[in-house]
Amino acid sequence: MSCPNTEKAVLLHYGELPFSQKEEIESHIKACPQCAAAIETISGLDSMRLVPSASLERITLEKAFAAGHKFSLREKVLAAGLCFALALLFVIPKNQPAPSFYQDSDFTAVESEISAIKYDMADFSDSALDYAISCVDAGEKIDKEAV
Amino acid sequence: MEITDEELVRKYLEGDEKAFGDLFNRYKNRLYPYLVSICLDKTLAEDIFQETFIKAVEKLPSYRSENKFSSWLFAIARNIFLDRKKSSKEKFFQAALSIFSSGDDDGFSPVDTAAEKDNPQTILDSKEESAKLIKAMENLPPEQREIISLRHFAGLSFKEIAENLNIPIGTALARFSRGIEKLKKGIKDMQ
Repeated sequence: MSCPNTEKAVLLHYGELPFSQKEEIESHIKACPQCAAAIETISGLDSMRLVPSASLERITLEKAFAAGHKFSLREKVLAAGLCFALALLFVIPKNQPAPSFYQDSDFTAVESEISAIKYDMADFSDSALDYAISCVDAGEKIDKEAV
Repeated sequence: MEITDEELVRKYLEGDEKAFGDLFNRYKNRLYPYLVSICLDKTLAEDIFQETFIKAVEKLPSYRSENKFSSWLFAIARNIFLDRKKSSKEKFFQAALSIFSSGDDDGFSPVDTAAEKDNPQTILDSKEESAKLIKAMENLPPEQREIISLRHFAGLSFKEIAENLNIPIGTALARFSRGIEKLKKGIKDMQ
C-alpha cells in the first residue's frame, strides 16, 4: 500500500511543493521507506541520460531551416491578394468599353434641339450630328442652314 | 538576464535564423529523451525529433506568446507521436533493448562524466541499469509512461502537463506516482 504523502514527496523533488510544506515532507521522506524509494526511483531515471547525436542535430537543423524558407500560407494569401489587386487596377479596366463621351442627358438635349428645327436626328450625318452636339455644348442654337 | 523563448521566436520571425538555433539548443536535450521514453524505439524517436522541429519552424508564424513555448513544442511532438501510433499497423512498442544492442553510442550517451568514460565496466554497468529502466518503462501503462516522460524528461511542470493533456493536476500526479511505484517494482523484479 502506497504512502499518502508520496505525491507531496514527488512535488518536493521537482520543486513544486509549496514552501510551507517543505520542511514537513523532507522530514517525512527521511522516515518513510516508501517515499524514499519513490524518490530514489525518480533519481534513477537520470541514469538514462539520452542525448541526440551530433549528426541528428545537424540534419534536424538543416531540415528545419529549409522548411522555414518556404513561403507561409499567410505570405501566399497576401501575394495572391496583391496579384488580384494589380489585375483590378491594370488589366480589367482595359477590357471595358471606353466611356461614352456623351451622357444620355446630352443626347436628350441634342435631340430636343434637332427636333426644334424640325429634323429627325436619325437623318443627320455624322458631321451634322457633331455640329449639333457642339452647338448644344456651347449653349448655342443649331443653325438650320449650317446643317 | 536570459532571453525568453518568446523573444527568440519574435527575433526569428524578424529574420534572425540564429534565434531558432538557440531555441533548438535549449530544447534538444529535453525533447530527445522524452521521445525515446515514449517511443521506446530510437529510430522512431529520431524521426519524430526531426519532424517536431520542422513542424515547429513552419508553425512559428502562428505561435501565440500566451502559450508557453515548451508546452507548445511538446504538444507538437506528442501529436506527431499519436498520429504515428494511429497509422502504424505494426506492433508499436519494439524491444527497448534495441537501443543498446548495436553497441553504437550514436544517439545515446548514458555517461556524462570523464571518470565514467574512462572505466569500461562503469559504462557497462550504467548501460545495464539504463536497459533495465527502459524495459521497466516499456511495461508501464501508456498514460503513466507519458506523464513520467513529460515530467522527468520534457521538464514540464505538473500544472503544464495537466493543461496539455486536459486532465486535473491531481490525476497527473496520481498517474505519475503510480507509474513510479510500478517502475520501482519492475526494476526490482529484474534484479
